[in-house]
Amino acid sequence: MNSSNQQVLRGSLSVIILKLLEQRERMYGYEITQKVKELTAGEMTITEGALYPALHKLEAEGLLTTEVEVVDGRARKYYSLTKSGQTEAIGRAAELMVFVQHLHTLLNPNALKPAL
Amino acid sequence: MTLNPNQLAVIDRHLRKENWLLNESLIAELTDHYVNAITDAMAQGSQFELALSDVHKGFGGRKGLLQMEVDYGETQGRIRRRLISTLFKRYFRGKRSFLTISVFGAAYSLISNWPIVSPYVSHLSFTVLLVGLSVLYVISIRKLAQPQLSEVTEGIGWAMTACFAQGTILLNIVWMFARLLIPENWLVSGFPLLTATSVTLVFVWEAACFEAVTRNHHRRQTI
Repeated sequence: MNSSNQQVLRGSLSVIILKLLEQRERMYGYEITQKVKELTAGEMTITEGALYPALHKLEAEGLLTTEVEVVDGRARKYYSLTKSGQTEAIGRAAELMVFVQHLHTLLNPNALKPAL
Repeated sequence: MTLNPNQLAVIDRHLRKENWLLNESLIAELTDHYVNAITDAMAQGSQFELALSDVHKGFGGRKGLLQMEVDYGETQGRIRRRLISTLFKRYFRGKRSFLTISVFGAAYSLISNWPIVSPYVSHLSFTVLLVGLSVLYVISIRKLAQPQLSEVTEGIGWAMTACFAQGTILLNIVWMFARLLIPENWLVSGFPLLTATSVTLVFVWEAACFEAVTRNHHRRQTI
């Protein structure tokens, strides 16, 4: 994945996390990285250095809640959406979709030509 | 494929000794990530050392890990403050307000009969202080002897006990200093409502802190 893709991904990381958790009841950090890789056929990867601060920030904002389970003798921290997180997931995803549509319009030269 | 105890020890040493991480909760989360990522990489033919190095790079090296620990401390502080504040407010609404009113009633009753109950309160206060200090001493010695123990892996309420002991000691120290600096008879007889309200608020705040630790602990389940 090139650096511009990486920047776009970093900017929309919180929305990606919220949407993934909206579809799955709960996920842990490594599972999220693997899910993104799987859904994008390996085209996009989330670095650990970006993922965990984003998860911790969303938790501090009250959008995510956590529970820890001991699996294979070690602690595993699962993240899930709070009620406000569910609302925020819908809102932020809609905002991002509108932004992507605008971006598409700006990047597509034909779309900028006035209709005859 | 699972990692052997020696490889798990290397990951633990990598996080604690080589990257200077201290926060037990963060170390536990990162250990799980390292183990999963390295196990998958090794299943695809990678060497343990190379896989470890790749995960480390993904976190931005030592600098990235240390910055993450600083940020994590701040976000956890925000979460705790919000939870305690929410729980504190609940003691003034609904069914819980009866508890607050009861505490206020008990405090006001004690204050109204201060000359009679004062010696008993002093004895009780001193006893609670001694018990609280003893409990904290035992917890500290246990933690020093087994530094790998944490709230996550222990599965018992040591954190709750520590919180309760700290709370009672703090209350007692504040109480003792208040008695040294403020003439208690003047305070109790001159401002009984204010004193009873202050005692109630401190009590409710401690209850909210204790409940916050308890809730955090109950979220941790063992499979």
